[in-house]
Amino acid sequence: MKDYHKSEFQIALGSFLRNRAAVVCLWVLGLLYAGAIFADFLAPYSYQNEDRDYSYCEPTRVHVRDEEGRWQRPFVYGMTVSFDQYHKRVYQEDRARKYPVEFFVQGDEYRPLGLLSSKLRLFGVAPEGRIHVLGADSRGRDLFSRILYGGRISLSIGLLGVAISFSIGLLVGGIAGYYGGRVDNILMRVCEMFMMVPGFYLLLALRSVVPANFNSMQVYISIVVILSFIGWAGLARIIRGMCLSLREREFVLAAKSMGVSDLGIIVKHVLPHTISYSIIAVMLSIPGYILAESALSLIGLGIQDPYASWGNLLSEAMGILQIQFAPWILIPGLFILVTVMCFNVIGDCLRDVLDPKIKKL
Amino acid sequence: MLLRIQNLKKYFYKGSGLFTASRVHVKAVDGVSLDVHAGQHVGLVGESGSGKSTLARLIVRLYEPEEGTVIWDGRGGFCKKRSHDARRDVQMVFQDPYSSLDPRFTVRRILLEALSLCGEKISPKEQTGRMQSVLASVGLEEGALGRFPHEFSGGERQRVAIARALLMKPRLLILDEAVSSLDVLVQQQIVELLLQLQKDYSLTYLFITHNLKIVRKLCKRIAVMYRGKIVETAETDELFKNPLHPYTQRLLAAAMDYRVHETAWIENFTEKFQLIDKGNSHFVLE
Ligand SMILES: Nc1ncnc2c1ncn2[C@@H]1O[C@H](COP(=O)(O)OP(=O)(O)OP(=O)(O)O)[C@@H](O)[C@H]1O
Ligand SMILES: [Mg+2]
Repeated sequence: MKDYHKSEFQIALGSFLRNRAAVVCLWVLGLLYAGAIFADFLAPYSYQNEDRDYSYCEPTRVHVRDEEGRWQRPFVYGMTVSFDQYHKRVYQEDRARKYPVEFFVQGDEYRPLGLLSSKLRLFGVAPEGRIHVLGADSRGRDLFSRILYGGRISLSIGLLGVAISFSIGLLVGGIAGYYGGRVDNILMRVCEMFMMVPGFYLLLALRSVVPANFNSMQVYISIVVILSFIGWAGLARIIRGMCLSLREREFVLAAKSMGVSDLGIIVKHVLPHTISYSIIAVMLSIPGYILAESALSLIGLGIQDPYASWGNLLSEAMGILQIQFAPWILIPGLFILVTVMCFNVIGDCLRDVLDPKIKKL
Repeated sequence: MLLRIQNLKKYFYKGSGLFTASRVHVKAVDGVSLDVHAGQHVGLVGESGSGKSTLARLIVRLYEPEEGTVIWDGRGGFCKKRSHDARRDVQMVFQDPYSSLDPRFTVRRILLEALSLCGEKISPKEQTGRMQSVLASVGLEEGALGRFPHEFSGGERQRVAIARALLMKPRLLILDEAVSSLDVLVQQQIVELLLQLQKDYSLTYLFITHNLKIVRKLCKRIAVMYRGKIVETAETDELFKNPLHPYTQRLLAAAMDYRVHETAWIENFTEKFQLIDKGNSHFVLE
């Protein structure tokens, strides 16, 4: 009945939403992105807030019963640090200092959108105590907070990178495929040049060109640009192949014979037909960007301290000792893993839905 | 004179690499001259691969010709870039109704695109009005506007394609095997529709087909194409009575299979055919 006026896309959306795993992944990603967007509010501390007395402090236990076993509202103890015979830090709960966990507290200041200033945070403890849900890093910064803030960079770099490289890829592929002949030939040779160089070396080479005195925002942007600079060629080739066959389709010829401009035809009639492939490719290539950023940060060429990204949070876990004594610093890796997995599951599901031919192979 | 084609040539090349020299692969249209007068429909027949579609595409400037001119309305050649007006005056309906409409567009968008190109500024209300009236004239109901091409049958799609062409208010409508993929009854309907529209819109058709029966019904003159050349042009009746070129004769013989009982040319023709058959065993009834 209502099936009548559905476009291909609406039908595909319907069957996508019937895939349980994909919907779960969509929710997980939604939560991660929400966490990153509302990091200011959700994180108990700002990404810079450090307390050296809590270096590599283990995840704080939240208690609901005091020593005598009486039920209480959730609270945490203060921590005291001592050193054992190997000079390893040993943290002990200081039963004398009790800090109730409070909600909607005034914490570190932040400026959403750079305008108003606010201090409201979802939860926290009195400033004398500290709460580290996922433990602390070497400088006593709250890992949970830094993961939320890091998500801003790690999660957005994929989207931005993909947006840029796909615009380039679609346009170049569209033009090469639509015009064919010499234009196609030249553009494709350029693409191949990019594809011949191993991606990571190109990444390093381009990164080394970025001036050292860039501030973190500039570094972030240059990383996005570099990543998308590498990523567009593969897409352009495939889009070009699709456009080559699309331009012979009669509706394209019809538009051309009516006098629609070339750009109009490419944008309105040719590229939209590559959209199901493009959506799949977008979903499946976002993880690549996230991983590439992590890799760059891991070797110290990405986002610089004190700013957090999942990659540079993970770069703390480069030594076996740190991993042994403070295994929670691996948690950012878990976030990367989950994100990458979610994008892949969604991408696979989209492929099943949008491109049923592939599934049968 | 609506359209005059002079010595038109179009070759397709093999290998257009960056460094490879290109070689002629197919002479798809090889020196075609043809005149089309206003109101006198021309049928273009010929076997598969004889270059009919290529000729049609040359006329609407989908291809640039190697050589030759297409003169529109006696207004001189528009060899390089066809002006906007001329583009509008010649419209084409394509062979395959299943692929000549963009499957992602609703009929409304398909028609709107044509309207936006016809060069006039019109209000949204008038746009809807025009779209509805053109749909009515091709025999589709109003509700069609909101539907996608895949929701139509082949015949209905062909009507949408014709409606789109009509919105541009063309004077020459090229129908490239526009009914070939439809079943006989629908073909019949479309042909009747075309005859009706011709009166309402003062159109001239260039009708490309294999189907001699339809050409006979619709066209005053027939041009026969063979291997990129027009080998015979004649008034319809004349051609059916007295086909001159061997290929034309063969074509008529092949068509004869279907309509043995009703044609006047048969006796005349079979006689001739046998003559040819004796001399050249290559020409055999298929
Ligand atoms: N884009 C192209 N590139 C190369 N060769 C082509 C191209 N288009 C057509 N040809 C060749 O040109 C010749 C004429 O093709 P055309 O499509 O005009 O034939 P047609 O008469 O329309 O045939 P049909 O009745 O099957 O539609 C054929 O041999 C075909 O192989
Ligand atoms: Mg053809």
